[in-house]
Amino acid sequence: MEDTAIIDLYWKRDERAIEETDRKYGNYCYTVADNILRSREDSEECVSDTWLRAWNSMPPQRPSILRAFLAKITRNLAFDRYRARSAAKRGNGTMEAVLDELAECADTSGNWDAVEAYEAKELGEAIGRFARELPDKEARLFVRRYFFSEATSDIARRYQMTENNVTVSLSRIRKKLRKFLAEGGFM
Amino acid sequence: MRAEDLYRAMEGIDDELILRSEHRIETAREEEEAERRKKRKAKNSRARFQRYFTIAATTAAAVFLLLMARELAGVRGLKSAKSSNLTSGSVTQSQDEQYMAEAAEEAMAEDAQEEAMPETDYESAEDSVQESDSVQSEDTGSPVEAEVPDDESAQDKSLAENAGKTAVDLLGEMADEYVSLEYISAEDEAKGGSRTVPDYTRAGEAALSAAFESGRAEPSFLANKGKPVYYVYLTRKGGEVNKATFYENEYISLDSIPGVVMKISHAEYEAVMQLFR
Repeated sequence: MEDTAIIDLYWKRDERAIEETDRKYGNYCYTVADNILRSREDSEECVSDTWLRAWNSMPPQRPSILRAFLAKITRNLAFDRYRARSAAKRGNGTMEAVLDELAECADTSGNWDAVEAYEAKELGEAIGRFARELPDKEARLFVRRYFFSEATSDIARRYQMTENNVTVSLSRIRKKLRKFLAEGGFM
Repeated sequence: MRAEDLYRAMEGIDDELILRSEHRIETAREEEEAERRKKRKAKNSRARFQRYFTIAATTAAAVFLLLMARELAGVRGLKSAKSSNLTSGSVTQSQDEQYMAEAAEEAMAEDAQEEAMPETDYESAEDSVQESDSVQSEDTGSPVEAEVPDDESAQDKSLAENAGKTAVDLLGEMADEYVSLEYISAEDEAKGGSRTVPDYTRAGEAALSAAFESGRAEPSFLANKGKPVYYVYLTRKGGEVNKATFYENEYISLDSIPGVVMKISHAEYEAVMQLFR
């Protein structure tokens, strides 16, 4: 079924919308969640939560790209679940590695009110702008690693690169991001 | 700002970029495929170039050999032309005589130079003139040419050379005895019309010769020669007929030199065409 038809079902409050979404994007959303959670049970629950969030979001929202819209919901829910699960204990998985890497670009002085800025979407818009300005290849690496939280080995396989090459490229991208955020007043 | 905040802020990335990052594998494959296609195309292109180059080189060699053969035949034809009468007794007319007279005048003016010619050439030319005289007198019975005095041999020699040269230039390797010249437009020939027999056989040959001499040889299949406009038929003494063809884009060809056409200037084309319209 076409995405527009699925969205129409949501807007008509037709429960087949969730069936069609699960049929078409179930595996995809599961992968997005599993990249973060690394748990089958948690990922499946996260996907179910995604359908509920989508049901509550449409209407009023009518996403132009349903796939990306669902990915963002799943990612957000998965990250919430990740934070709740690992509040007491941090592991050594991919997600931890991603957060460690991003910590290089984060402000440790505590001068910037992240929550407020995030709510104002300033930081999100800045990140979107940063990704747009990156060369295509780097932009894709950046998205795979820091949006989808993919392991470097998976990214290397996806783009037919060596893992070392991916790691080096990501390191350069982080340097650019840090400079970009500093220039934008986020640090 | 914590790393978690930054991680959440990644939601600000454009949906299109998110989608594009997923399609990367397909794109990489497409790029590989495109690269393979490009290599294949380059290989085919090289092969095509080699093929065309071979054809062009072969054609150029063939044209060169034809032109060389024409040149060699021209030299040989000069000797035979000197000893031949290129006009038919039945069609020798006033314009031919005028042409001969003009040639004789030129010969007189260059008398001193001709005396300085090598002995062998002089003798050869003299022989040719004598033979020519005898043939003409037999064929045409023309008292003018048959009664040329011996003390005017230098003029006769020049005359014979000019006449022979004209024929050679015109006919290339085919230099021989031509007994008649006829022409007809391509349109009339298609309708089954009759050819015109002019009263200027030799002058016509001379004009054709000049046109050929001034022309530039080109491979026939490459030349944009247009449609045939006029045909000129030259009949040898033995009955063999050679055909010169005029094309609308100022090209001339001879059927005895297949595959080659001569590109001539507009002025030259108009000058020679005036004789055959």
